[in-house]
Amino acid sequence: MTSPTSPDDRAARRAVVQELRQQLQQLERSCRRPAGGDVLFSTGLRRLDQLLPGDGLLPGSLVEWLTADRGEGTATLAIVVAAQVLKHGGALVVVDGRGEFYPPAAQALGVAPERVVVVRPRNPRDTFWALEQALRSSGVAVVYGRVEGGDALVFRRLQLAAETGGSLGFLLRPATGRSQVCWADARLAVRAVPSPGPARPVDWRWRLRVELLHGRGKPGGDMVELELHDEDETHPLHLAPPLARPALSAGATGS
Amino acid sequence: MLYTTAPGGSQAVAACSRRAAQYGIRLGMPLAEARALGAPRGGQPTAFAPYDPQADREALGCLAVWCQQFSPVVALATDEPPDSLLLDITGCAHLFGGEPGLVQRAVAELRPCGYVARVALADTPGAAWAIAHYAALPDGTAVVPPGQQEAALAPLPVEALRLPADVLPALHDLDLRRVEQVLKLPRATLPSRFGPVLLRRLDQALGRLPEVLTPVQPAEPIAAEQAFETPLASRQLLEAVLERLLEQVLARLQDRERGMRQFVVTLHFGKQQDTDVVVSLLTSSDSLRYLMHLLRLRLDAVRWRLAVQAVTVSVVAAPPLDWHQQTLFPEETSETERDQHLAQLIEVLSNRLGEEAVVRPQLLPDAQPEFAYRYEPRLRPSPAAGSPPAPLPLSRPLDLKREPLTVAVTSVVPDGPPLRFSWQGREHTVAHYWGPERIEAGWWREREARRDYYRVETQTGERFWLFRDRDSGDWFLHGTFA
Repeated sequence: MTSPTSPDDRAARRAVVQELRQQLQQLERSCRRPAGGDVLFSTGLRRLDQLLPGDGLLPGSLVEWLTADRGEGTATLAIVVAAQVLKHGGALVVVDGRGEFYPPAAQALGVAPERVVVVRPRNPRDTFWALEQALRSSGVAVVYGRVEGGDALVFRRLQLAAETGGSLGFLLRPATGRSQVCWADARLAVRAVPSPGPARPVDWRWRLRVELLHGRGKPGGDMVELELHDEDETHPLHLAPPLARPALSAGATGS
Repeated sequence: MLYTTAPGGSQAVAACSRRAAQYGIRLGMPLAEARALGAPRGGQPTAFAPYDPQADREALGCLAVWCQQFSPVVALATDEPPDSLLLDITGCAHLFGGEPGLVQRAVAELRPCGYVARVALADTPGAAWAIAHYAALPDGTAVVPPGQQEAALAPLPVEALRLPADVLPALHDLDLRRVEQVLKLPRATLPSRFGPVLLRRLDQALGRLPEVLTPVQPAEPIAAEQAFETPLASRQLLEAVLERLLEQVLARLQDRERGMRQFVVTLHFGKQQDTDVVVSLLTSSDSLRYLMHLLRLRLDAVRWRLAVQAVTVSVVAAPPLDWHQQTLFPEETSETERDQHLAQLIEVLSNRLGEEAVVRPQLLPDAQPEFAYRYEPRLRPSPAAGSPPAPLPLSRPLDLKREPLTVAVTSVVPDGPPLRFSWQGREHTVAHYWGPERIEAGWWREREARRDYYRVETQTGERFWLFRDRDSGDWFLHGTFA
């Protein structure tokens, strides 16, 4: 590979890659299950919907959220999106193996506590078992859980369970899961964007950058920036495209 | 402890403890007023719970069965609210050393159960009821000698005659306050002036009319048992036997249109201690396949090494089955169907992981973050209490550490905001902060919390929840905005 490549070579290679990618997309699209595929849930923000394969959340599928688990907002965003899905009825099952899920915060993000079932398994085996049972049940709208470990086979089982039950699975995985085969419809990574403005801001805007690492029938790499804020009276929390404040963000880093 | 009821939408006090009464809480007082009085400074706060007359009735029914140790005939009094038991002790008193002995024994046996009883003994149920409710009983007991009920009843108020609510105002209008005043009236005029009930109650109390008590029947226990000639070690065989026993039990329940909500499988190991395997459901079910599925999940969690010598399946709770109307278009999953599927999921999870592992969050109006919620097992009925208002969005972290973690924090001024902190071996520089949010709560607990909370954003945009303990000055990380 050390020999210099001519522009022609490169163009040809690009064409081949493009063709392969298209074939792959077609293959992946065709294996999408037809039943229920026509009803999509919105995340509450059009720009975020467009990031997802199929332009929305497909019931009976998994969404993997890769998280650094360092206060970067992944879980918060997942719960905000889950609250949007819960508007269409059903319950939220939280599989909380660490015992750190905090219900008052979830309520503040728009999830009514009476619609939440918290499951507290004692070991990883029970965690995956509980996730599978919950995904397989058609009485559940969203299953949310933090998972550690688990091989591709386990996630394939979870995906099949979600297809059977028609519920949405939000799985929070450590970033090490990135190298594994993805059975989810979408694999997302969330990063917090440093806020502009003074050291003691008056409002609570929180800017997050969501990247699609892998999507079924959609190439990864697409990215969207959004903002969590609480200015709308009708919703406890709102997703919004970030305000263009170049002047502020440029001058903020030094303050 | 204090209970509230809701007549016509407004909530009022239905019952309260002696301590609550000392705080100034009275029966019938509006709930808001009672709440204000219920937590005086320096005193124990009062617990509030909704009033459930049905539960009272069921508890009284259980107590009635328990009271059959004193007499075979125990009946529930028909008055509202149900608070009395009537015992026919004909031929029983000599077993307890005479009538006073029986009465003393009843009070003494009830006290450890948490009941303060007023016990009266008389020739007629009416007289005993009247004296137990309205006479002054210094030690909580009274024994009326045979034939003396008229004298005992005379000074009591007319309410003691167990009269319906519409008769009492008529008596009061004529200033008839005591039983003796009613007794002096010409007997023949009573029915036409006050209705037939008054005369009937009066005659029943004085023993001129017989009163029949309908004894409470204890529920017949439903169980099936199988003993093995040679102890059983195979799980498969055991399951086959259990399935047959469950089938027998279900067949008996089917006649009464009932299903099981809770049953116990007892494994007998001979000399070793028996093991109980409890299977609980949210709603009653009569499906053998489903109940066996739950039982298998439960058995997975039980460890035993010995061979089983006998098994018993006994029903603990068998409420009537819930009937659901079929939907016209079965392909549409209706809301009730969804609820049923969710209930099944909860039952499956609870039986495998344990009932404490499948819970509903109950938010509490406590300022200290770790006490602002409580988990209740999903299998237990919901307390149906309203939630306190939600905290502001993003004011609380979604991941709250089980215990606040000590962190090393640099801040410029002694009581100022944090500047830098290290956590998980990384140095974080604070770029923005919100706060302090001062929380002082829990003076009634062992350790009072006096904390200054800061929400901080680091230079990389990550958000954490830190607080400084105002007593020690130490910094803690309490949660991450994960």
